[in-house]
Formats: sequence, structure tokens, C-alpha cells
Amino acid sequence: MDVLSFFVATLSLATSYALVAVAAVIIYRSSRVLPFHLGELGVLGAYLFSQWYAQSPWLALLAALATAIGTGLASHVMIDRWGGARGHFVGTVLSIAAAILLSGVIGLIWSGETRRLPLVQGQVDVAGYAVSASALLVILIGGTLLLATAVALRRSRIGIEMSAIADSRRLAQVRKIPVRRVLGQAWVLAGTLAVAAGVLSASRSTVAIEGAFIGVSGIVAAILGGLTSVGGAIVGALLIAGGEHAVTLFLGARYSQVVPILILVLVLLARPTGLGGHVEHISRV
Amino acid sequence: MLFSRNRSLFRRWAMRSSLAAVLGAGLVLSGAVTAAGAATTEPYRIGYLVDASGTGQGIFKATLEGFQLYVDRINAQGGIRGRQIEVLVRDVQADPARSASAATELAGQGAIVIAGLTMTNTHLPVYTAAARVGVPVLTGFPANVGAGVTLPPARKGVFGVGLAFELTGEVGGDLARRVSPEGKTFVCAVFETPGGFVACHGATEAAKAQGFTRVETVTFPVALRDFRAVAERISALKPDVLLTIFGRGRTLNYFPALSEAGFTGKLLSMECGTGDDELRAAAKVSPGFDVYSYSRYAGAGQSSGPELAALEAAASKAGVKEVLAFHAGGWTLGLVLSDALSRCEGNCNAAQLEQALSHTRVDTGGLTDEPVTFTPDDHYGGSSYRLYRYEREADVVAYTGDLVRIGSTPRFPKK
Repeated sequence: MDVLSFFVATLSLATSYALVAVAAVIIYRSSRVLPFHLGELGVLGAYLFSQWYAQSPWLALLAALATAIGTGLASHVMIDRWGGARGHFVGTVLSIAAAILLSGVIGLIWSGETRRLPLVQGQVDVAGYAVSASALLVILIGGTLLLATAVALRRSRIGIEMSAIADSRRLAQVRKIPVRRVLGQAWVLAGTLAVAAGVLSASRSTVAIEGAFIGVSGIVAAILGGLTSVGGAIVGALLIAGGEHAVTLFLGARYSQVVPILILVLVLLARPTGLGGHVEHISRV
Repeated sequence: MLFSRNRSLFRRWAMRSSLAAVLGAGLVLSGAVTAAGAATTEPYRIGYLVDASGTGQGIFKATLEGFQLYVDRINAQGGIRGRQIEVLVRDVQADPARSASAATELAGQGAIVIAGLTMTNTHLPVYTAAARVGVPVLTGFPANVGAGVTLPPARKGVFGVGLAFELTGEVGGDLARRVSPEGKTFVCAVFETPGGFVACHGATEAAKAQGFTRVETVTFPVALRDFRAVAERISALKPDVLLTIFGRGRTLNYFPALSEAGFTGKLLSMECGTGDDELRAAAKVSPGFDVYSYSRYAGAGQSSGPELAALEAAASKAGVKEVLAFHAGGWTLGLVLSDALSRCEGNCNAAQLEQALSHTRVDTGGLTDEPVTFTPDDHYGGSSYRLYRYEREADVVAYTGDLVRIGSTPRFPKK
């Protein structure tokens, strides 16, 4: 495998992980909940997308968007408003319950069916090297989404409001920030990123319930990045994807499963707050 | 006064007691008669373990479908010796503990055999649990544990009509030479399951015996669905023949990944739950290499015979899209079981059924090229495998005319 192909393949895998990781960062920053069901949400979106894709890609896109908005809002109500009101821990546990529920629903509807979802096929010539067209498409779409999200979170009003809510929900309310609406928007945005990750990942492999593994890799990447940093999450995703890919290629696929945990342990030993995290010092004046 | 009252009470007590005794005796007798009657009309209860909701559901549900089609046909014809067959199905996924407890529970429900079973990691716990309650096990397609279990010297009470992977692996190594007469490098790619490891051991040893000078095994975790990096690794080895031992759902990603990684050798797929429909779908979108497949069981249009024709008719009536090896495996399981039930002595309890299974010879009527034979020492018997080739132009998996017959003793046993 040439260096360029390895780089492109790693980058396309990292893009899927990064989309989930950034979704997890958005949720954690606004609700302090670790959303463990993002992988399953992505798979649900991928199944619905593939259901319509043969008829019309636009219909498929609409179905995926509807899934993102519907499940994002449902997650907001179930995990954030019901669970989060009883503490962040309860919210996180409810997200695990949601993962199990979604997995069951997907199994019930599609009976473990595996589907191909080739958005594009073939290879593209890049500087004399044959590079997978689907990998490039994943990088292009995923990269654009990540960039847009990062800019929106940093520059737009909603990004600032999310940070304010994460700091103190009560203070945000006093400041007349529409907390419920902003949280709802955060969950819808996270749902959209998760569904995009599910569809893009499926386009490179297949639509199958096992695709939910991107949820775990994404969460680990988010933790690596410090849980509150979008940039840190993206770097975390790159580290995990690169590690997994290299280990599979040179040692064997069986060892790739320990890569995320190994990287997590090593990074957290060196930087307990993660790559992009920081320690909050609160002092009374 | 007191005496006469006591006497009258005694008489009433005596009368009631006599009446109760007569009624009781009557009830016991009628019960005995009913029991004797029930022994001849009660259905045969068959316990069946399946993965209907886990990662292997694509494989095991189809085998159950084939088995159920056969049972429905027998029941519609009046059953066996006037008794219907009742199938008690338990979804155990690939969970060894659930499988073992379901086997015990089914025996408690009156099952006289545990049939089907799922991934090979669940088999030994089921055999142990079934042996504890004295019920035989008849393992179906695709996998049997071979050495020390179904293969001679066979373990008591365990029979198999699926694939003993060490033998099927050896056939793969032999057929590698037929698909690549000049080939030097052979790679076996398999999931990390007990069956997978023994299959690749048999395959690589047989390939060496066939003159392949470089032999490698590539393994990966069962949950893996994204084969891009694995495909790169395999392609880098430049195999002349790549033996692939996959279940359903994987090839759709694996074949295109191999194509993208630049693999140009011959791909030989062991039919152990992939399905020709999936093989065609995957091969169609994966240019650059030839695809072969070998199978013990024949699907629609791949062979001919009365049982295959009956299966095709039943499947068509039930709305099954395509008869695959799974269905043939399930139907054969039904054939073998009904043959044993028809020869089973007395009321046919578990021990009597086990005895009948130990002396089996069933012509599968086109589903396999060899009859299924069990003896007291060999619970697997001889088998044969057909080699198929994917014809790109016609989009069919066609028989090449190559047939390999094997006995039930591995040539390269794993130490």
C-alpha cells in the first residue's frame, strides 16, 4: 500500500470518528452527558438512507435528515430533559439504554440485513497514485461538515449560548438565554453529525448494525480531546484511526481493537485533561 | 342412641370411601388409558437452537427456514407414524450460556433431541448440557465441531449434518490447486472462531501438500465489518489463491475492498453461510479477480433430485426468494431426523432416538452428492464438495464439474 493511499484511507476513517466525536463534544458541552447511543443513531440513519437511495438520493437525504432531527429531539427529551434533570450520570445511563433500544429496533426492522451503499465507486488518479473515490468523498463531505460545525460553535450565537449553558444553566437562564431551545438545537446538531457519520462510514463498508462501533471510537476520540474541545476531538479521531489502520495493516486486525484504549491510557497518563481540555480553577473573590 | 348414630355415620363414611375408591380407581385406569393413548398420538418434540436476532441471524434463520419447510411438509402428510412434529425454537444468538440453559430447558419441555445450534463457540456447552439431561444433539448447517465430537471416534449423543471445518478446510486446500494449477502462494482468511481456526489449519496443510510453497493465515475478529485494512494486508501478500471462510454479510464489503486493494489472484470461498445470492452481489461489483466457491449442499439449479425439487416447490410456495445452501442444509436436517424418528423404537424417547440416529443412511435426493451416514463410531460420515465458478457475464455461480469426495478422518489433524 502506498503512502498516499494509506493516508487517504486513514483520513476517511478518521472523518467518521471525528463527526461522532464532535457530536459527543457538543452534547457534553451543553448537557454534561456522555451520549453513548450516537453510533446506533448513525446506523439507523444509514439504514433509512439506504432504503431510499435507490429511488432518489434526495429522498434518501431527506430521510436521513428527518432521522437526525427526530432522534435528536427524542434524545433531548429522553436523555437531557428527563434524565439530565436527575443528574448527568442518569442522562449518561439513559443514553446507554437508548443505544440498546435503538439496536433492538434496528434488528427488529432489518433483521440483521447487510446492505451495500456505494455513493461513488472506482478510483481517482491523484499525482500518479490510484486513490479510492469513496474515501475522497467521505473526506470532502465529512471535512466540510466538521469545518462548518467548528465555525458555527466558535462564531455563531448558538455556539456561545451552548458554552454559557454548559458553564451554568441557571446563570444562562438569568441571562435570558432560551435554555431549552438551545439544548434542543444542540441535540439536533449532534444527531445530524452522528447520522452523517453513519451514512459516510456505511458508504465505505456496509450498512450493518456492527457499524455502531463508530459510536465507541467517537466517544474515545472525544475523551482523548478533553471532551470540550472540537479541535481536540478531531486530533483524537485522527490518532485512533491512524493507530487502528497501521496496526491492522502491519500486525493484524485482532490487535486493532485495543488501539483506542491503549492510546486513551497513554494520552491520559501524560495529559489527564485530554489533548484539548483544561482544568477549571474556581476561586472566590 | 349414640351407638346407632355412630353406626349410621360409619355406614355413610364407608359408602363415601367405597365410592371414592371406585372413582379413584376409575380415574387411575382412565388416566392410564389416556396416557397409553397419548403415547401414540403426542407430537415428537424437537428442540431447536437458532440465532434469530444476533450477528449470525442471516445464516441460522435461513437454515431454520429450510428445516421448518421440511417439517411442515411432513406434518401436512400426516406426520411420522401418525405423530406430528412439534418444533420448539429458542433464540440463543451466539451466547454459550444461553445456549446451554436453553438446551436444558428444552429437555425439560419434553424435547427428545436438540437440533440446529449456532456459532461453534456455543456447541461444547450445549453438548455438555444435553448429555447431562440425556438428550442427543443433531447439529445443522453450517458448522459442526468435528474432531473428538462428530468425527470418529465420535462423542456419544452428538451428530452433525453441517460442516466439520477441519475436513472442509482440507477440501479448500485441495481445490486451491484446481483453481490455480501453477500457484505458489496460498492465503486463508478467516474469522477468529474455533471453527475458523481449525478450517484454516486444514486448508493450509492441504495447500502445502498440493505444492504451495508460501502459505499464510490472516485472521480477524468476528465483529469486523470494515475490511479495507485487512484487504490491503492480504493484497500485499500477493496470493495466487485466497481461501475465504466467511459468514453472510461480510463479503459485500470484503470483495470490493480486495478489488480496491489491487488483489488479482483467485478467490475461493468456502460455502459456510455466505449464500450464492450474496456471493453474486459481491463478486459483481469487484472486478480484477476470479471468484470460486465450493459447497457440500446444492442450492436451486445447482443439482437435481427429488428432495431438491421438493424443497424448491415448498420454498416457492412459502415465498422464499432463492433456495440457498442454508435451506438445503435445513431440509437435510429434517430428512435425517424424520428418518431416525421413523425407525425409533417404542414411544421414541431421547435414548431410543439416539440409538436410531447411530444407524443412519439417508439419500438426500440431490441436496448433497453423498448420502448422510452415521454409525455408532462416526457421527458425521463421508461427504463431497462441488466447485463452482462465478461467471461474470451471466451473473451466475456455475458448477465447474469438479467434485471432491472425502471420508470423515482428517488428513492433517490439529495437535
